[in-house]
Amino acid sequence: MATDTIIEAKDLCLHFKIDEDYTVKAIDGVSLEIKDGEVFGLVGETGCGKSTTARALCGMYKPTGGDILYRGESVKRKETLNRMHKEIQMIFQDSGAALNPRMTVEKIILEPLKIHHMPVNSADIKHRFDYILEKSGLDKSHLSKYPQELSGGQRQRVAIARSLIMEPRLVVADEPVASLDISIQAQIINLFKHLQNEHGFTFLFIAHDLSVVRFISDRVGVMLKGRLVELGPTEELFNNPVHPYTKSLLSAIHIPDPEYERNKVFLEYDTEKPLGDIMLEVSPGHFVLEEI
Amino acid sequence: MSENLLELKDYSVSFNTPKGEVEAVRNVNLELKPGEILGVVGESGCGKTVMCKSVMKLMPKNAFIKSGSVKVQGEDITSYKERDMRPLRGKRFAMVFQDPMTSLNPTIPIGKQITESILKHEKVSTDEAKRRAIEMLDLVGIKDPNERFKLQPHFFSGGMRQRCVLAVALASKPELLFADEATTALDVTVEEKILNLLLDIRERLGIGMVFISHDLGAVARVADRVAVMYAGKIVEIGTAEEIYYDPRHPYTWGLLSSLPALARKDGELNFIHGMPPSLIDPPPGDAFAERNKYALAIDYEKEPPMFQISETHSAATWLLDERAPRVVSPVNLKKRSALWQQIRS
Ligand SMILES: Nc1ncnc2c1ncn2[C@@H]1O[C@H](COP(=O)(O)OP(=O)(O)OP(=O)(O)O)[C@@H](O)[C@H]1O
Ligand SMILES: Nc1ncnc2c1ncn2[C@@H]1O[C@H](COP(=O)(O)OP(=O)(O)OP(=O)(O)O)[C@@H](O)[C@H]1O
Ligand SMILES: [Mg+2]
Ligand SMILES: [Mg+2]
Repeated sequence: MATDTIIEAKDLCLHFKIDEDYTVKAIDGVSLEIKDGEVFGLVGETGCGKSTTARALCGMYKPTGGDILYRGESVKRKETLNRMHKEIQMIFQDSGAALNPRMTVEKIILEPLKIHHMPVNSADIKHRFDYILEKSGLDKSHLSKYPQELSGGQRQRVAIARSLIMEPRLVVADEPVASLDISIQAQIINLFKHLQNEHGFTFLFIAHDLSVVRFISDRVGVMLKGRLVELGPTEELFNNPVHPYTKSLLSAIHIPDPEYERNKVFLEYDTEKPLGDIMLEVSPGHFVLEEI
Repeated sequence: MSENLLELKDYSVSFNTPKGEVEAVRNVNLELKPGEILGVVGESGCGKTVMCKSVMKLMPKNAFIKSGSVKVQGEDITSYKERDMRPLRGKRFAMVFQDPMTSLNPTIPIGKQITESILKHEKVSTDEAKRRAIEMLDLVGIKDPNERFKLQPHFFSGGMRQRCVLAVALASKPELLFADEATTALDVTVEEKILNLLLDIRERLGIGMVFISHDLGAVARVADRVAVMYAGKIVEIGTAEEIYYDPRHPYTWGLLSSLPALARKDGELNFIHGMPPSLIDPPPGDAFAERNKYALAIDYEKEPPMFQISETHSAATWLLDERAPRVVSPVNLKKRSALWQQIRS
């Protein structure tokens, strides 16, 4: 795997000021690097700041503290930000719901190319289009349809196909498959994995389903209350979790095995507990927020 | 033998639409005992929600019961009108939906919503209803229920709201609870807590539940029995052990083998090719035949009956006919799951 860092958050903070005496610290000092060609999984409880982190990394929010480096350069520089915008694509859980109802599926998928003045009729693009269409579980019969004629799952797949047609360097996928059936989820996950392996795509992958995250990610970060509490290579983190919150999270995973489920022990974690300040490296590449 | 809490016999529900009749639920047979939890799984659009909503008669005007009957605690409610249903809803059965915000009124304090639900169904004093509402909040694990009683839903986190929805649903002490993707939007630690809560409530109140989810892990956590639906029909039903460890329908095989939890990291995930058929004029024979690599010629012509495998387990596939070629299930969950646990410990 390549080791060049594509994007880096440095002590990133994003505080939403609600009113004079109330501020939501959605991100409160997160540092992480995403390497070229890897799938980085981000997990954590509802409201811990995963989506905000994803959006901030894509330049949708201006950080209130810290910095973001795209290929080593601060995005405070306008040229860097522009370059980043061209090379990053985002997919949300509800991307499918936001498709233009007046465009056919074919137009929707090809639109990003038109926006960037790329030839949509070249052999290369045609090939790419067919490939992505097939791998997204869509076929030619869908092309002339409008979004409202498709099911929710089909619409989401159109949104995914649309974001992949530009062959982005980094795909930020925030719960991209949460609303889809298992079988369609599996197709999309296969597609992502294939794009990574064969075409060197990089992914920031956010999901509640830890089995999916484990399957697809090279490294995983665990967030809690706007902080990163643990980060490491996927199997290392799943096999040797250190932070009690990570342990709690992993102990809650549901696996399709009734006997196992009935006998499992769920380790509860009190999220009110204050967090430590220092990230310790417990084994190569495996970092844990020290406890206090 | 205890009386069935819920009994569907040859139950079919359709919608009249401009494009034709949508056969959303087709010839379903189902029984649920008091205190039992039945998991219902199947792809989007297979009829899970319609089946439950139609029992509660929470259906749009274009829906109608096409055949069969529905009994709740022995009472045949098939032809009940809205007026007959009102006293039953909440009292006999209640439903919890996926999105807590759609079931809660955002402008009314939580406590008041629960109190109202109690007052609607029972002749008790307001004070008594209030006391019970606080008790309900406590039951569903809301800390400081006396204080939280006065708060509006937006002061609660997603997990807490879902607990409140449960509190509203349980306040009038229903005998039967339909939980439709009730934990799908929650993160796993919160989901685990809510599932434990459901199990705990079943233990304490002895209510029966129909637990709809597309998460086969969550279903494994709570269900005593599992029904697998495809294109409006129940294609396999059995105890959780039978469905997970000894599945017999190729569709159940397909569902189970798509799961990343049991996949090899270096491999690809399996998936079921193709799409479910349209429910307007569904195909003759076995609706799954198109997508089934084990399909036999007869699957395209004649609908398979339910073959009984054990007293509790049956499946509708011609593969179970004695004349069919023997096919071994491609999913060996026991083996893979043992491996998984080994890795994990
Ligand atoms: N635009 C905003 N204004 C104010 N607060 C916000 C805004 N966006 C997010 N927040 C708050 O920031 C926190 C983090 O939210 P975020 O959406 O990043 O969480 P998440 O980890 O993605 O959660 P989920 O798993 O539920 O998607 C939450 O408390 C949220 O309410
Ligand atoms: N009001 C309606 N008019 C016409 N058809 C409908 C209506 N409501 C539902 N249907 C159809 O009935 C079928 C069953 O829908 P249902 O909502 O029960 O599916 P489901 O199994 O709950 O799916 P999901 O997992 O997506 O919630 C679908 O094909 C759907 O399109
Ligand atoms: Mg989010
Ligand atoms: Mg539904």
